[in-house]
Amino acid sequence: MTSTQHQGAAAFVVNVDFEQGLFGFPECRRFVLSTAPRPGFYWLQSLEYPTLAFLLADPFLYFEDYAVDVNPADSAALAATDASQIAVLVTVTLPADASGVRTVNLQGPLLFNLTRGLGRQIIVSNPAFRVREPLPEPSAAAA
Amino acid sequence: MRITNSVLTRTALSTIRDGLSGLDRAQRQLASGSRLERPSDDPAAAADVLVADRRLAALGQYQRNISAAKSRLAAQESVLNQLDGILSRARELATAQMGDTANATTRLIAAEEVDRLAEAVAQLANTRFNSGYLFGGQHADLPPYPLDADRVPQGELPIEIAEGQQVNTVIPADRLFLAPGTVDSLQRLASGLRANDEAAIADAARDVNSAFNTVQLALGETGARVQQLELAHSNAEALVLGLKEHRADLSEIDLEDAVTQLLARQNALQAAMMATTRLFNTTLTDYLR
Repeated sequence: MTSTQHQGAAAFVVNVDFEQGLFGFPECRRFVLSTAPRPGFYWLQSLEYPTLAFLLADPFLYFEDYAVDVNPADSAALAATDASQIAVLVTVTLPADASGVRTVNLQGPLLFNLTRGLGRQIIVSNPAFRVREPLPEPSAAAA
Repeated sequence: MRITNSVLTRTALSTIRDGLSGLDRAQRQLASGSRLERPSDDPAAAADVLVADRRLAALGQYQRNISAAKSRLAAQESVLNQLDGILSRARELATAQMGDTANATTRLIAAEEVDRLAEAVAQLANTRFNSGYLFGGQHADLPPYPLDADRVPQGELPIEIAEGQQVNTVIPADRLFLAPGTVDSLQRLASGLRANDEAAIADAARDVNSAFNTVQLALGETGARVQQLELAHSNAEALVLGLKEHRADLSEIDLEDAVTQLLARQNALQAAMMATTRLFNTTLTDYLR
């Protein structure tokens, strides 16, 4: 865990096209990715349906062993020739009430080539990375 | 390529962060090749609320479809695992009975066991699910085995899990039990063993093997479909609604009307979503503060 990665980071807003949409949302293709007030968190807001948004988190801040294998078709779709061009974020599911557990989906990460404005959701085959992985307390990561 | 927690591969986010803070908007747009847009720049955003409402009502139905598809696929996966075990055992028996240690007596004993395996497979082909037959395809009301040429159990019962996105839920008996001759190959294996006919045993064993491979493929296919559904479900759960809703139009309508409308909207959404996703609430704003 590196504590300084996100400190003092500038806010950004980027348009991202998901050519294939997201799983279950194939018609949501154009999004705006922006930094959320909390470091390490991002908003992905639909442009087709502006009232729809996803909260995303940087998985590497919480899961040191997390790794994503990107197949050639996916890296080509992202116009990426090198791993350093791809940013990985995962969806966060917030609990319905304050006492619930926040989870992240490590099995279906969202990949971004932010300089090209391209995004893609992929399936990670490693069964160790689960769909509903409890997210450690943000204080532990943000501190 | 592999993306891990190493500093080298973690640069994508910081690059864009640093890069964007140093560029002006025009340059940024040029670099990305597209005009930078934000929902707040869009004068049509308010009208989209209505579209989103319809989308969300549909989403409730899609979530129910996903649940239905998942339970069907789970039932199928369980049958396939049993089939996998049965065919593995049949392969073992066939291999053992083709060797030098086999004789008419051992083959007779093995034939008895293969008979029972064939019966078990026939029963699996007629697995019940809800009020019909799991592998019945378009003829789910009738048992797919034994095959009736007038009603071949085909069709994969696609279920719509999102607008324009369908997932097949079932591998019909035609593809799993009949065309590859799963039951048939076991029955021929049993008669070959009974007849003490090594050539017939070898012949049937090849077909058992190909049925086994079909089951392996079907297991992989089922697993991939389940995964796809899991992710669609998880995305719907993660969806945050109404974050910026009524941004523009609220100022234009009477406050009382607005409150009434918001309440009606909230109730309709809750019904539609069946509590699978959360509505915008204070928890969310607190969380991000």
